[in-house]
Amino acid sequence: MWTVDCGSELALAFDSDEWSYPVWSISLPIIEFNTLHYWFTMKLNFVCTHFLPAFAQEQVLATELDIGDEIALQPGPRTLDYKGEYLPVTDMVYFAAGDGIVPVMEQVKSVLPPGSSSVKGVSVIWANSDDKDFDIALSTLEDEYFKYSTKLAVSCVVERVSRLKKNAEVDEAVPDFNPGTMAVVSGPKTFAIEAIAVLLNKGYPENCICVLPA
Amino acid sequence: MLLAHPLSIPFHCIPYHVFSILSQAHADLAVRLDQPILSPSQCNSATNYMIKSILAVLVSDVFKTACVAFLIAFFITFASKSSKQLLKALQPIRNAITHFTRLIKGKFTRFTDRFDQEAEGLPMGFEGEGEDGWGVCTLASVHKLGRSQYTEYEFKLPRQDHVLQLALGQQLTLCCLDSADNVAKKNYYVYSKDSKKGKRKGQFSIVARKYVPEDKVEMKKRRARGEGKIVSFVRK
Repeated sequence: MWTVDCGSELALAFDSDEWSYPVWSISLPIIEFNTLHYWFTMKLNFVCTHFLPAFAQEQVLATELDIGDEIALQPGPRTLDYKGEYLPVTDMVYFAAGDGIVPVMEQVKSVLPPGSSSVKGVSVIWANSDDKDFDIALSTLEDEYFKYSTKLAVSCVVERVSRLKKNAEVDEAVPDFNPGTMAVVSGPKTFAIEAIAVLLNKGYPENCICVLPA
Repeated sequence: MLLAHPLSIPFHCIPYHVFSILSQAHADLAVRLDQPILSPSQCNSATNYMIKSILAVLVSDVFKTACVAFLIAFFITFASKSSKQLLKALQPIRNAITHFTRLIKGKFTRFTDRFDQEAEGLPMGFEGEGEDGWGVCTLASVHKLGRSQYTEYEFKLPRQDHVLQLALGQQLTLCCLDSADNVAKKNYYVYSKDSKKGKRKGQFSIVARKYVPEDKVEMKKRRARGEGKIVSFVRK
């Protein structure tokens, strides 16, 4: 039996070092009796649905889903959020790693066409520890570059995530902050930490850096 | 006057092969000191004979063929060795030409994109309350993305004219059950290889890291260690 205070939230969660998500939760109502304490017993029946951690989805996709199988979908969270005070945004700096380039490609294609946004210049810095991983989107980025060569700068860097801060190519490719510049970081968590450090070193305010979840 | 010694013959008139014959049969040869053993005309004819035979060799088809074969072999060898260096030297020029060509092509594509107005598709509907509604799609194909460790999963929407109306930077949540009825759910970004901005009608793609069986093993180990178990806690 647990003793809980009124107004607190009781939650049942699946928890580990790497993932944590609620299976069930309830907020107990606040009862305004200052002098009295009520003890009551609640019988809770849990119907648990076992959720697999996020990375297990890739296992299911690869091993259990066949061509023609159905899968449920819904629009997910909106991740692009600018909290900086410098408006309008005139320059975009995309700092991506691995498959973090996927949302960047979509955004680059959206902001580059003339008249589609206030953005005048776009820099894409894409880092991978293995040059084979550039096969995801290099041709698409090249096509965009040749279409908007005066507006788009693309730098592909082969480097480990842990060494990004010391990499001269990255240092050269990331432009210094100017009012109106928005930075978008896209990639794994370890990369995001390093990328933010690089951007802060270049004078980017924290509220001008948007981190896209992996 | 007759002498039996071959050295008395003027040497300038004796070719080597004649001399060798003479040296073999010098005992029986009668030589006159006042008259050369071979007349100048005979000497010249011997030289002529040699020249003629050399010329005959030079003019012969076998020699010509040998020469041509040698020249071909020489040029092939020379070209193969020098072509790498030549190509290396010309590489910047080739790169510049390729770059310029692609730049022109890109500008042309940019120009034609203005007139390429794609008809709007039908926004896909999601059954349920508000933003919690779910729709259904079908796995259409699976492609490995080049040499990378990522895989592209292409899904078909219920109708061919359906489009996903997602905001810039908005993710897509996919949810399915595994064989043990566990719920697998994850957010993905929609992946598009096309350089055109337009939405793809009736389909969409996502990119996921290639499945590595070790992950599963690692997950089992974690569970065996007691990690990832259901716990309860109170949060204020």
